Amino acid sequence: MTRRPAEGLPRALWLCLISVFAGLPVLWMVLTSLQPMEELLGTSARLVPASVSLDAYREVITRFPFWEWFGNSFLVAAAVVAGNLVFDTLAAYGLSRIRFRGRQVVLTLILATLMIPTQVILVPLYLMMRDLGWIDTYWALIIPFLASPAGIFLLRQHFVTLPMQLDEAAAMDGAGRLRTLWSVLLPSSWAALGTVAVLKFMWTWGEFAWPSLVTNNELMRTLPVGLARFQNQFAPRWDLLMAGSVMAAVPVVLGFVLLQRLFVRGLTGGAVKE
Amino acid sequence: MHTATELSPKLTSDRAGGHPDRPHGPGRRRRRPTGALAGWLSVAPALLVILGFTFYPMVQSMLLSTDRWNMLGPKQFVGAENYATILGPGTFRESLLNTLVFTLLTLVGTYVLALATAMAANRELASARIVRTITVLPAVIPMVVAGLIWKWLYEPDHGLINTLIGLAGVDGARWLFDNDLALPAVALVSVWKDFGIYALILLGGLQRIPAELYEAATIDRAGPWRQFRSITLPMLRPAAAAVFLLLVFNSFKVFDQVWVMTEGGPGTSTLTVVTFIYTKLLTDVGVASAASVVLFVILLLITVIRLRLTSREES
Repeated sequence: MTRRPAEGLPRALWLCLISVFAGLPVLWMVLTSLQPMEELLGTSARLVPASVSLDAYREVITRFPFWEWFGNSFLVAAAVVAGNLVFDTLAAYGLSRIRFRGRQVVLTLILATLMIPTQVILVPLYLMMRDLGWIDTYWALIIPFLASPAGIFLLRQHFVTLPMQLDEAAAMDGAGRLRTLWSVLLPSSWAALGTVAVLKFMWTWGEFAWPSLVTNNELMRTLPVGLARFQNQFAPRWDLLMAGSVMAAVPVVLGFVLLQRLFVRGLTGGAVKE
Repeated sequence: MHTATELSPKLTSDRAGGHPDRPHGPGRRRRRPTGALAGWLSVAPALLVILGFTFYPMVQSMLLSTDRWNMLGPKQFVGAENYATILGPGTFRESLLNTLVFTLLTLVGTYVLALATAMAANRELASARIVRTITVLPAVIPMVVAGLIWKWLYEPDHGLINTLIGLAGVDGARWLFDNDLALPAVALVSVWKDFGIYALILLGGLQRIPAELYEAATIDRAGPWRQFRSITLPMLRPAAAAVFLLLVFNSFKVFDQVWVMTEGGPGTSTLTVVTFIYTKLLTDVGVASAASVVLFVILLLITVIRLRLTSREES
């Protein structure tokens, strides 16, 4: 491809500019977390820190139940991902490979539920948790999200593209349904499963409104809720807030960097060559 | 597959459903009856969770919206009163208007940035991959973290934004504390966070446009603007429609960054629909539920439009 230089320059300029816009705030978070408060509140903000220290990180970990928050976030996200992988896969399998009376009704119902976001059921869902005695327990954070219409939909879309001959061949060999699902369908579905897992993990990890509603006990908070509460309790200690933010972002950013290809393919519908 | 044969009777849901093995008729159809039981067993766990924790609460939401209740005393049926209250002049109306303005700002901002970025990254530049990584990075960061970063950037006295503006010799603003600036300032966080994702979706659309179209247009001496208008925009329509509706849909649910950065203030200038629901949730259950139902109806309308548009694009 021949590129005309006159066309290439504004293009490159724009890409630089947009990268700065996207990247600078993240860089700023990291830089702030490494500087002492006195320096941050100096006469003017500086991009290059005069001194670098990990004091803010140390303080976050010692002054707050940081590891409890981190552990809660991790446990909840892991449990929700695991639940979705099992429940959504089973449902997607049933809805794509088994013919049974009522299948269409179930499918329609699940598609209809796809339109109901958590935000519009906050009130009654909270009441349910209260009546069940699940406030301040992991149950409230995990159980309602163990299965999701979006996950089922995504996996079903994928299963439908796999040829029925696979199942038939497996059946000829005497494999039962679960066996067929496990050793024939799942191995060729890792991309779809991975997408569901990553999205679910990211979403659960970052969730804010729901966990701050159903947790009152400081030790039951998830990381985002803890961080947000902590900023209200103290005169803004930006060094600590940014250190906490970095630590809250690391697990998901790491996951994203590792699974980037999958992500890009999922979003562009495979059109972009890596 | 010998092991599979041996294992299968124990593992199949057919067996669990009590269907006897039929040693004399090992045909597919017989070994794997079109069992309603297997079907229902496979969907049951997910269905129970979804019915119990999404569908049932949705119905409850509608029922509660006709009650007056502060979560402590007895419920009192008031009919459509809650709807009349919130749809009349007052904070809910303001929150609805704010949400609309927020949606409009996010829509325009994100769209322009995403399209420009997608078009710039469309060529096989060596740097395109790096740019893609950087621009999608904010989307991965939790919204609360994004809100905190920007709250610090907007900080009037020591924040980076006012410092940079100060370098140019201009006085900065009190972004999040100014009635007129707070909402656009919060909208910018949404633009920042998600434009990379939308750029990727648009990039996917761009790469589906056959290069021959541009070649033919160049032979016909169509300039870049003409090519953009006559080829790029029309061919991009399916991806663009998806982006448009996703943006509107998500903007209507905005909450996290508002709550972290301004809690709806100053005054009611950044109060959004979900923020309104949140403030009423524990004290005025009926009003919060009515607001939820109104939000649901709006989201439903958006979904219907989305389905209409996508099915038209496909046909």
